[in-house]
Amino acid sequence: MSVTQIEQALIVEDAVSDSESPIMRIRAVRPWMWSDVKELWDYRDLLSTLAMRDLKLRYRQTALGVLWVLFQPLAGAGIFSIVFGRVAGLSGEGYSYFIFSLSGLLVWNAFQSTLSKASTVLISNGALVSKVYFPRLLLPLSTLLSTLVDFLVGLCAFVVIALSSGWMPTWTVLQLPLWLGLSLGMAVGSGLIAASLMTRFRDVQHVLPMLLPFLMYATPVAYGMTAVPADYKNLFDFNPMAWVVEGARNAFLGRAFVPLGWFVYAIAFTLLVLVLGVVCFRRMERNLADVL
Amino acid sequence: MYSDNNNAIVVDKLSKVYRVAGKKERFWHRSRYKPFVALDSVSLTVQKGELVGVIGRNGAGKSTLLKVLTRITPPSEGGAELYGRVGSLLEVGTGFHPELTGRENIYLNGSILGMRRSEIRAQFDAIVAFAGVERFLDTPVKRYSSGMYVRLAFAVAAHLRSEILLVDEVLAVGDVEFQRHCLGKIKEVAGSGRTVMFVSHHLEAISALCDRVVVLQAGKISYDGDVVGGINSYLNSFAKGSTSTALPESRSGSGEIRVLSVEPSKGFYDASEVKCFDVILRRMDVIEYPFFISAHIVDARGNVISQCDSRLVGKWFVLGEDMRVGLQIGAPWLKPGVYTLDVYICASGIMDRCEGACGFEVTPRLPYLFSASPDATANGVVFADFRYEVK
Repeated sequence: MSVTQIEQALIVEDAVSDSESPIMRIRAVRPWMWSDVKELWDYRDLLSTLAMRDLKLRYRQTALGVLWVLFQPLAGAGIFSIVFGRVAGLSGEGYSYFIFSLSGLLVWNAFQSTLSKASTVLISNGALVSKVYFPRLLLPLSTLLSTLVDFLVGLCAFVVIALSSGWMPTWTVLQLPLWLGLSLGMAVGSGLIAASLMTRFRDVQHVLPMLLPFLMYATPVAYGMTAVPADYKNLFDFNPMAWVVEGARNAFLGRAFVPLGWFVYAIAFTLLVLVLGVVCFRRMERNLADVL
Repeated sequence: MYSDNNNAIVVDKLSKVYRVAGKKERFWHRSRYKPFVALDSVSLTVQKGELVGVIGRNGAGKSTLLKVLTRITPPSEGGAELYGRVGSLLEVGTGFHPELTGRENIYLNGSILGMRRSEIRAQFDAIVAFAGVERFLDTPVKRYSSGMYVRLAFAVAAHLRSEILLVDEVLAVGDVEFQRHCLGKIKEVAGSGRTVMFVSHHLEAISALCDRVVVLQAGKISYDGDVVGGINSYLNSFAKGSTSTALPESRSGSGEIRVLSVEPSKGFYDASEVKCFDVILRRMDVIEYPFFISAHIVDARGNVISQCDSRLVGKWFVLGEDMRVGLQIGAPWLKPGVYTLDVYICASGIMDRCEGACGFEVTPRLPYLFSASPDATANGVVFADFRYEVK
């Protein structure tokens, strides 16, 4: 019998015995199977429990509590306004620089915090991973909830501040979930790759904090895409996050959609990173308990 | 094909090989790996409703077997099939977070162990009652006493609705009262038709609970059968001359010196008899400083009865190539039962941690001149050398 025939036979057996008690097979080599996806679904309660745990723990025993969620993006945009808006004199492209930078910062922060949390989540839950089985993919995914909460709180702050300074939302804000989705997709994909590498090479935890600010300055967060000098334009064009941040900002400020070609490019890139991330993660997760 | 099948666990030629990193000569050298066979082609079938105890010396592969069966780590070769939902308890309190309250941890721990939230809610009151932590449900578990912590953790796992329960050495913690409570619960679980596989050093628990014992020795099954035979086979594995099953390299400690074996002068001692052991050491690396030996006498429940530290008798050792050190233990008089010896080789830090280095049995003959009904010796950990006098 060939390997595929055996696989098929196994699948048939699974189907037959499902009506009684579930069978779990443990093998040295195991291919991707539909049952893995089903298992993720079976463990959905754990996903939400883990996500809620992160959320609850973040501000426990802090004096300001949830206010920190509000404070962080505002402080970021505040510093940007002083350094880039005042000192360096960057243009807000017709808007107050604070609103201009906050509109880019919100999506960028979602990307950055998801990526850095997802990359360390296996190490910080090492005790759990080496003592009990659950689909490991849940750990990086569970970081998404707190990012979403951050984003929503930041969004409310943006709306209040922007409204008071004369901004009116247009229908383009409806595009926001799209851009947020792309940035989270890219963050999860690269977070999975980083997490996989991190299990063997702890170097990643030193490289990533260095790389992320660098990436932020290479992305039009503090400045607009139009401010990029023509010589460098090509380089910036190929940074998919540049289009995601620019796209989100255009949506906030009611400006035209980014060029369609680059939009497709950003989607394709996100999918590629996601697939790559899942493949890396799958390869690593089976022996995870032995290397941690 | 499976409809009339009464198997719960089928393990088929399961092997697990770890790569143990060797010492690097220079930091830029690639680490050299030695294979360490933790499980060597193990085959085993457990029927539904059986309560199987797995015993074996340290490093025999007991925990590895459970880790493979719970899917924490994959096998290197072979496989296993489990028929039914699997619950596991590999370490008490896995997934507990110290900052979260008892209530929150019940939900967290339960869902980590694979329970749906609705199931946890349904079992919530039973869990709380079993653990006896009603008053502290909204206190962070970091403020719990260790006993409360263990009780709560065990309570969650014990209320898992699984057909197969895999338990590793959970009874090493908690007080005697709670241990009895846990054993009762495990028995109840098995009585309800579920299958339990139970790894322990606690020979009393094994003999009280299990209908079948599997003894692992150096990654292989050396015995599979009834309880009395299993415990005897386990004790024989300590017999004079047999070396420790755990490879010295796989033990913890910095490794300049390793214990090759610890040989008791005989397998059975009377309680008041002087017990003699030879500790055989090998130098693995040059050391320039003296070291000391500490031997712990451990009873069948895993309690350390006494520590025999060579520093207390003014002995520090300097090692040539190989060395044989004699250890004589007079008092205290040990009560009848099975004991093992843990041997530690230390200087500034631990160089070798050789747990379960050898085993011996103390015969039921009393060290006293007169005998009395069993309640005269029922209490206490050791026999005292005492006298009464009217003054």
